[in-house]
Amino acid sequence: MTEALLTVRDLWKEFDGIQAVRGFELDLYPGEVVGLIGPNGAGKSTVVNLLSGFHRPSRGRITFAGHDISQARPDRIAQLGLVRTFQHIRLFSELTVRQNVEVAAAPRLQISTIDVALRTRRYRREVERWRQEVDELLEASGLMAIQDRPAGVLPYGDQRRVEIIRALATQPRALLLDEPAAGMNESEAAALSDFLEWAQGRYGLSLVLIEHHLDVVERLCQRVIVMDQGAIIVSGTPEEVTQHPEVIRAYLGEAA
Amino acid sequence: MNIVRSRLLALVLAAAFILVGCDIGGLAGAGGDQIKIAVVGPMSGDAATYGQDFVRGAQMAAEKINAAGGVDGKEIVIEQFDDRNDTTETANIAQRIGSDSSILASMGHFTSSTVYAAMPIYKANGLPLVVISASDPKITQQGNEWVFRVSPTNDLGAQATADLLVQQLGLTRIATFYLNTDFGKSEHQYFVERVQQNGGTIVLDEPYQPDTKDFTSGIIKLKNAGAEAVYLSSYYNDAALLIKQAVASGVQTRWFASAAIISNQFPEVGGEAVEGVITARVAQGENWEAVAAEYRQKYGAEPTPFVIYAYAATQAIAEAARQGGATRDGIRQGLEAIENLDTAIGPLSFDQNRQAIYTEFEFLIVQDGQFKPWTP
Amino acid sequence: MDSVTIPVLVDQLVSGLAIGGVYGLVALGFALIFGVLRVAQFAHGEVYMLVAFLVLTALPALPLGGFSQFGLVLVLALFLGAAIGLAVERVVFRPLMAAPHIAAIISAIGLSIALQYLAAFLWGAELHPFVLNWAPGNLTLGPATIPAFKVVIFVTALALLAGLQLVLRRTQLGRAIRATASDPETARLMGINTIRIIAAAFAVGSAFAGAAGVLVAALYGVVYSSMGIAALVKGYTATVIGGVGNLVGAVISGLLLGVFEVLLESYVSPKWSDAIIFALLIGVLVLRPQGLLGRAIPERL
Ligand SMILES: Nc1ncnc2c1ncn2[C@@H]1O[C@H](COP(=O)(O)OP(=O)(O)OP(=O)(O)O)[C@@H](O)[C@H]1O
Ligand SMILES: [Mg+2]
Repeated sequence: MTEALLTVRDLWKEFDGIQAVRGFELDLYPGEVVGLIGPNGAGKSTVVNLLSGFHRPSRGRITFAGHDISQARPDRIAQLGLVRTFQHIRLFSELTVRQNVEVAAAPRLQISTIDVALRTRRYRREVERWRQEVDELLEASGLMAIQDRPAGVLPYGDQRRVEIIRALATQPRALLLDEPAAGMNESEAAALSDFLEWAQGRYGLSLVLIEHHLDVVERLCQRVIVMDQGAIIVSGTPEEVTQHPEVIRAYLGEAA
Repeated sequence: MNIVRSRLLALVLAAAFILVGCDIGGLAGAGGDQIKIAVVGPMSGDAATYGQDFVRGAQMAAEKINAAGGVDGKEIVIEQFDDRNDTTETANIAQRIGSDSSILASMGHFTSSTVYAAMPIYKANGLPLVVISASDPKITQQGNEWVFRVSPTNDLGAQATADLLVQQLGLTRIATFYLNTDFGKSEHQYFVERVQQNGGTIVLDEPYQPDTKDFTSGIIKLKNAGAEAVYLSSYYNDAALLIKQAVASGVQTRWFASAAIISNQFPEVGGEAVEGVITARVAQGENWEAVAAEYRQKYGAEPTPFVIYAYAATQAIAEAARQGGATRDGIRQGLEAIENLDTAIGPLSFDQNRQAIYTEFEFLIVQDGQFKPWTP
Repeated sequence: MDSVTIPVLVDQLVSGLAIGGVYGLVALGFALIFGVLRVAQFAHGEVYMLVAFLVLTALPALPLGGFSQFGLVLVLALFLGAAIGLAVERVVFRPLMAAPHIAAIISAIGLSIALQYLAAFLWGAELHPFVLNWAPGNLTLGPATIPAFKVVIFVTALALLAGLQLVLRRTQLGRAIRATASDPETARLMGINTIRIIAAAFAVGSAFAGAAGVLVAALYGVVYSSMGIAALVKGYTATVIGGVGNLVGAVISGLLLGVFEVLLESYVSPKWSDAIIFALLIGVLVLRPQGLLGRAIPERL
C-alpha cells in the first residue's frame, strides 16, 4: 500500500472554552476522495482551517507529503500542494473569471524578467502552456463562455466554480473543498459533481469534501467521516455511514 | 546642499551656545539683579520668522541697554516663549508667564486673535504687556490698563491706502480680499468704510481662511468682477500666493496691500508677479534706519518692522522701570508716564488708551524684488 | 451672491478638474498601497512633499526651456517618488509585516511627522517659491478664458491614471496587484509573491504622489514642509468616498472632490468648505463605509 499524502493525528482545537475539534484523525491517500459531513457547528470548517494553517491546533500533528505542517503558515502549506476553498467565497471580484484563474496559474511560470523583456522562445513556450492550462480548466468547468465577466458579478453557483478552478490552477496535490455545492440546486450540484470527478481523474487529486448535498458525497467519495460536536462519530463507505444508527440520529434524522 | 550645510552649522552653533549660555546664566543668576522680559510669539511653525524677529529686536535693545549700564545697574534679560500662534496655546503660555514672578513685563503675541486671548490673563496677573505687531485698533480700546502698544494700528494704513486709491489715483472700482481673522476683518473693514466714504465702490469682498494656499475660487470671481484695483488685508505669504496665482490666471490689475506684507519673503515667494505691488506704512525715521542697519549687519538680512517695534518696546520697558521702579506695577505706571521717549520708532508717546501715537505715512512699491519708497 | 455666468462656471469646472486630477493621483496611490497592505500609509503626503522639495532643489540644474523642463520634472518626480516609496516600504513597513496593523499605522504617522521635521530642517519651514520655465498662458474655451496650465495638469493626471489602468489591466504584474488588493490573504494562498507586489504598489503609488507633488507645486507656485497634510486629507477623503480597494472609484471621487471643493468655496463659503468636506468624510465612514461608489470595505482604515 502507498503512503498517505496527508495524515492527521489527535487534532484538537479550543476556542475560549469551546472544544471545536476533539481528537480528529485522517489518512488521505493519493487520489482518494474523502467526505466530511456532520450537522452545523460540528467542527468541519475548523478542521479545514487547521489543515490549511488558518488556525493553529491546540494539540495534534498534521503531516503533508512528508512535511510537518502543524505550525506552518497558510501560504507555505499552499505551496506544498495542499490548497483549500472557502465556505464563504473569496474571489478577486474585480478581476474577470479568466484573470482569476490566470493569476493563480502565473506563479508557476518558469520565466525570468529577461525572458519577458526579450520575449524569448522559452517565454513564448511557457506562456502558451499557461494559456492552454487555463483554457482547459475554463472549458471543463463550463465557464469559458463567461471568461471575460468580472467574477464579482456572477451568480453564486458560477462563483463557486471559479473558486474551485482557481484553486486547481495552482496544481495542488490535495484540495480541501468547504461546501462547494452550497446554495446550488440539484442539477447544478450534479454538474459540479461531474466537474469534480473529471478534475480528480485528470490531475490525480486527493480531495477532502465537506458537503451537505449527500448525493454529491455518495457519488464522489470512497470514504466518509461523520463529525458531531467536534469528534468523529463514524467513518466508512458512504453506504455504511448512511445506515449507521448514530448518524441517523445525530445528523440525518435531523436533516431529513 | 548649501542650505544643508548652513543648517548643520547652525545646529552646532546652537549647541555651543546652549553650553556657553548655561554658564553665563549660572553666573548671572548667582550675582545679579535682573529685569526679566518675556518675548512671546510664534517660535515654531509657519510664522516662526516673526517670533524670531521679536526676539532679535528685543535682544539687540537689551544688549545696547546693558552695555550702557543697564537699568540702574540691573541687567535686562530676554526670555522667549512660543505661543505657536494659536489661541489655546497662547492662554497656557500667558498663564505661565504671568505666574512666573521673576518676569516683570511681557511683549508680543503676533496676531490680534492671540493678543485678545492673552489680554485678560495679563490683567489677572497684573503683568504689563506691550503689543508689538497685532494691529486691530480695538485692542487698546478695551480699557485694559495693563496692555500697551508700540506698533501702529491697521486703520491708519488702510485709510491712507483708501485715500490714495480713490482720491489720488482715481481708481474707484475696487476688489478686496481679506484674511478671515481679527486682523484681516478689522483692517478690511476700515479700508472698505473709507473707500465708500470717498465715493468708491467695492466690487468684490472675498474672505479667505488662514493657511490658504489655493486661491482659485476667489481669483475666478476677481477675473469677472471688473475691478480697477485690488486691496489685500493679508500677510506676506497669502498675499504673495494670491497675486502669483491671479497673475498666472491672466488677471491684470493694480495691487495694493496692508503693511503686513512687508517682508523679504513677499518678493521671494511672489517673484515676478508681485512687481509693482504698493503698500503704506508708518514713516521710518533715522533711529529706525539705525536699528535696521545694525540688524542687517548682524543677520545679513532685511529686518521686518517687528524687529524695530520689539526694540522700541524693550527701550520703553527699560525706561519705565527706571521711572516707575523695577516691579510689575512700577513698569506699568512708568509706561503710562512716557512722553516723547527717544526710541527706535522715533519719539514715543502713548495716547490715553496706551496706544503709541503715529502721524506720518509713506508708500512702498515692490521693484526688482525689493520694497522701495514710492510717491504717487 | 454673484451671478453665475458660463465663463465663470467653465473656469470653475476646469480649475476643479485640475486640482481634482491631483487629488485623484494622490488617492489612487494611497488606495493602491492600502489595497495590498491593508494599512493606511499616513506618510503618503510626505512622499509628495519630499519629491516637490527635491525637484525644487534640482530645478537650477535643469535649465531647459519650456515644455521640455516640465516633461523632465515630471519624469524626475515619478522616479524620485518611486525611490522614496520603495525605501519607505523596505525600512518602515516590511519589518512590521507580521506585527499588528496598529504598529504599522503608528509608525506611518510617526514617519509623517519625522519627514515634516526633516524637510523643515533641511529647507526651512517657510514657503519656497516653485516656478517652472514653462508658462503656457491662457486658453480660450468658447466664452471663457482659462489658464492652459490647469488643462495640462488635468490631462497629465488623466494620462498617468490611464497608463496605470492599462498596466493594472493588461499586465500579469498589474493583475497580481489587483488580485492582492482584492484579497491579500487569498492572493498569497494562490502563490502570488505578495511581498514583491507590495513593493511594486509602493513604487507605483509613491511615484504618483511624487507627480502630484510637483503638479501642485507648479500650480500654486509654492512648496512647504507641511504641504503633505492637505494632500493626504484630500486623498484619504477621495479614497474613502470612492470605496476603499476601488481604484477607479478613488480616481473618480478625487476628480469630483476637486470640482465640489471649488464650487463650495465659490458659492457657499471658503470658510465652510473644508468643514463640509470633512463632514462628508465622516458621514461616509459612518453611514456607508464601503464608499459611495464602492463595495464592502475590507478593513477599517
Ligand atoms: N474563530 C472562531 N472563534 C470561536 N469559535 C469558533 C471559531 N470558528 C468556529 N468556532 C466554533 O467552533 C464550532 C465549530 O464550528 P465550524 O465552523 O467548524 O462548524 P461546521 O461544522 O463547519 O459548521 P457549518 O456546517 O455550519 O459550516 C462552532 O461552535 C463555532 O461557533
Ligand atoms: Mg463550516
